Amino acid sequence: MFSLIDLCAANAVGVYLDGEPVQAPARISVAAFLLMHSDQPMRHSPVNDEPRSAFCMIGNCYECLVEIDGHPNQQGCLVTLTDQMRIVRQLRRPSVFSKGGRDE
Amino acid sequence: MNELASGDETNTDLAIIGAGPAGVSAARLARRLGLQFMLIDEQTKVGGNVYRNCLANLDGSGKIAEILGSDYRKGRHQMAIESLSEDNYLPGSQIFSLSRTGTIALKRSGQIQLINARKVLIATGAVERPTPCPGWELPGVMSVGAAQTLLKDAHAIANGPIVFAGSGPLLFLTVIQYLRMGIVPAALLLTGPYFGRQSWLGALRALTSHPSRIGKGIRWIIRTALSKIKVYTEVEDLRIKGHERVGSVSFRSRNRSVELPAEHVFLHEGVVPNTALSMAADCQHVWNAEQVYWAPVINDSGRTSQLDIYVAGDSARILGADAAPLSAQLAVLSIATDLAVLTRADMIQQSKPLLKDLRGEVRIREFIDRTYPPPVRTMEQLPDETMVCRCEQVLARDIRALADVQCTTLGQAKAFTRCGMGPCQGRMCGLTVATILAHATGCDIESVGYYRMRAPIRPVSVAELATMNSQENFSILGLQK
Amino acid sequence: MDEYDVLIVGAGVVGTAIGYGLAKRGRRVAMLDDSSYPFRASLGNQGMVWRQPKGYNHRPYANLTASAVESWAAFADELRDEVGIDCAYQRTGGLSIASGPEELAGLTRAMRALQSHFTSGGCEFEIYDRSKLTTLYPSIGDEVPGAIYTPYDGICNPLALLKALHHAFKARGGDYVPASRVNRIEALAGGGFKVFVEHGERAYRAAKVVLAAGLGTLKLAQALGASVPIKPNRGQILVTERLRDVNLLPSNILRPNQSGSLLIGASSDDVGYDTSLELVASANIANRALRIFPWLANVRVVRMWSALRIMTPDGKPIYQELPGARGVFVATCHSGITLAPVHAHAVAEAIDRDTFGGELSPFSMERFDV
Repeated sequence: MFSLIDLCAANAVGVYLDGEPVQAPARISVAAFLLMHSDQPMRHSPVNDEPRSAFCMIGNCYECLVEIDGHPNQQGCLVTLTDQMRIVRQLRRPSVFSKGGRDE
Repeated sequence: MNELASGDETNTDLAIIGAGPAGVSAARLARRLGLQFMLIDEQTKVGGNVYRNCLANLDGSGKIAEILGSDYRKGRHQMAIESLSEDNYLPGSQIFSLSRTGTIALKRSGQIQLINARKVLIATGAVERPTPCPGWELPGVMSVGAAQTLLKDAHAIANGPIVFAGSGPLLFLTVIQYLRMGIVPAALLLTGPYFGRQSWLGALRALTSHPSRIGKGIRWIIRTALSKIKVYTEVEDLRIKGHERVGSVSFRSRNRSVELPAEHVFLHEGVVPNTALSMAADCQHVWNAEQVYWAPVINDSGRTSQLDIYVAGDSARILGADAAPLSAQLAVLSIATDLAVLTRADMIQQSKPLLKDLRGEVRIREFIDRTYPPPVRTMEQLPDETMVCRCEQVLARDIRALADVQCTTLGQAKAFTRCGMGPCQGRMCGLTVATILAHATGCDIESVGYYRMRAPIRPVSVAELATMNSQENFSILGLQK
Repeated sequence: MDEYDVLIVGAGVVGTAIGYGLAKRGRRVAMLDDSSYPFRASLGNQGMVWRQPKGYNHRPYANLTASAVESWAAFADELRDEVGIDCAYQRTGGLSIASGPEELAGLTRAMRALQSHFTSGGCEFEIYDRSKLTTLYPSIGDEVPGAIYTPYDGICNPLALLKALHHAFKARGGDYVPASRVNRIEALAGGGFKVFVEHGERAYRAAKVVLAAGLGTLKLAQALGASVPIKPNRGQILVTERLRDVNLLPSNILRPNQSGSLLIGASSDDVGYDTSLELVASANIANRALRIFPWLANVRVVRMWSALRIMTPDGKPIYQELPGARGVFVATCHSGITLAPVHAHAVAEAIDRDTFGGELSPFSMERFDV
């Protein structure tokens, strides 16, 4: 895990991680938040389910793919936390009917 | 419908992609010369990677400025730019398409925007060379650049036993930053060759032109040596182990086998130009055999084989943050001449001092390059079970097996193994796969070629793509008449 | 200098299938592959093993396609036995989904015409009206009136097919020579040919030459005094992220691939040899797909391809010995995936025996001389 060395972000925001409400520093990326929150992987690889987490933090490796506000496969390192953001770790491939589509 | 929806707005002369030292410098000069420009950046604040979040970090008396160091503090001046507005600055924008004629399609706050620029300057900096080894795909393994990003953006540091491994100035810089915070990493594993005579001669030469910088390097080395960090040299056969997460690293150092517990591992083997945009725009690229990377073919001003597209800064050639403003200004001078805002004579005259300074930067860089050569042998000898393509989980042995059917190009390797087909489109595996394939088939890496990087440079949804057919759903900035 | 029974110019799906077939028949075969990556149609297609509605206006082509599709399963087994590579062939059934009533009427007419070529059956199709279609896909777009369903259509992994053919060619003793663009073919006085490769001045001797170089065939044939009327036609395909819950039949709109991505296509643009991606074409593909399957809205496109199809004036293949250049054969088509079994068997045999009879005889260029 990662820890903060100072409270650089004065205002905390309230976000939802895997459905649970969590307080988080403002103005940091989703990926940074996840790395500070726990050691759990950000996702499982859609090829064979292996656990994966951010590697490069600059948008080059595409490992930090999480669902943000209902949109799957978002690069968490490129998205800044906002209040009420809903973050879901991608432990399965996104459904082809994501965002509330009817199942077939 | 045969056309993308269009409006009749005014032209944008110059689209600058990337707001690091090259991009911001280009914007300042463009404004001074009276060129209409649009500074487009993926991040929400200027700084690129080297000066990431510098305006906030250098404002006030936070400790962070001390920790990050004197080079970073140059950002206060380098990144200063006045009156950026919605008219000329688009932060938080993900470009997913760049055509050879200067049409840019980007996503910003959920909206698609199209920009038609008469000239484009790509200033997207560098990316780290991929650093594969067995187990590098485990959570907890990151690049040194990731450690930098976390420190600069979030003021966050890694917990637990930390192992740094690799070669290059950025590796040392990050170790020094952690030491300044009072954190002693468990170990520093140096994979590069022992400092030989050639390096010291080059150091002497560079010292005469840039004494302060070499002095700094020497201070770093001394500081590292004096700390309690364990330094291992001539590191080979690095393997990262763990179940679901990093647990330990094993390696050989001077023929001794070592195993160390680790909670985080940071890897680095130098940086290479970010060629995603220049390749997507069909610019010609050339293989740099000494530094083992592809770079866009450019003239002295940074113009590529596509006449309206220029590249500056590390995206053109790795020369570092101090060289970036120089090549950016050279490009803008040439662009201004193309657009008849500057005479050729003036351009040549104003370019002279920039070219001179750039030559000095090249000399420094040559020293660094000689001291930290690219890890070609390590890549060629990666264990068979190394996952060289992380996205599609292709192993080194799968690439070596392609020699059996004389597969000699990266394109064919991609077709046969799926390497390079994942979300990163080969950014994390291209150089490695090319090196291994060349070695296995006896070809030179240049002939193996590269993946055809193309749009979408960043993923875009079907709905977002579809909106480009519809008049109301997006706005155009600067349509070419 | 190397001497062969047959030298094949081009190592895409057409060339390798023919090469494999000839090598299997005991011939000494060399296959030369140029290094020009962008025009490689074999790598830029959707892997459809497809009949509907090909040949609705051309009985021989309808029959050729039917025979290819019917033998595909056995061909996939053959390749799996030869080299252990699975082409992932699935006879899933296929759909052509209409965007509007006129299109549905046109598709229906074409299928009826196609069916008329098969007097003893084997060309069933069903017209799914909207109510039937919505039982299959409840959230299908509002404007969709219906679709044509064909039980014999299906998909394969076209990259696995190419890989399997390469391995099989080699296993049967074929010589694959990459990075060898042919720039001259010289007829030799005593019979046979000398084939020159640029950048290296290599040359090969062969009794026969097969031009299976896709669009590259044009120039080579011209140099031999023959005009082969082929033109490039660009198609673009959108590739999505990997997904779950994908229960979709392959159709004219999209097909799921083995990895769980959707391949959405395909456009058709006459832009010469330009394989650069055009946003207009991509936007059109996305638009059409979205009108049929609205739930695609939130699915991300992670890659796009652009490849050049090889189009003859009537869209049907050309298989023949070149007029005025005996011993040189040309094989070109835009359905190299579907027709792979035919290329490996009937076409290879025809080249071996110097005679294009039976189901192949209607595919000479003479049909273009009116």
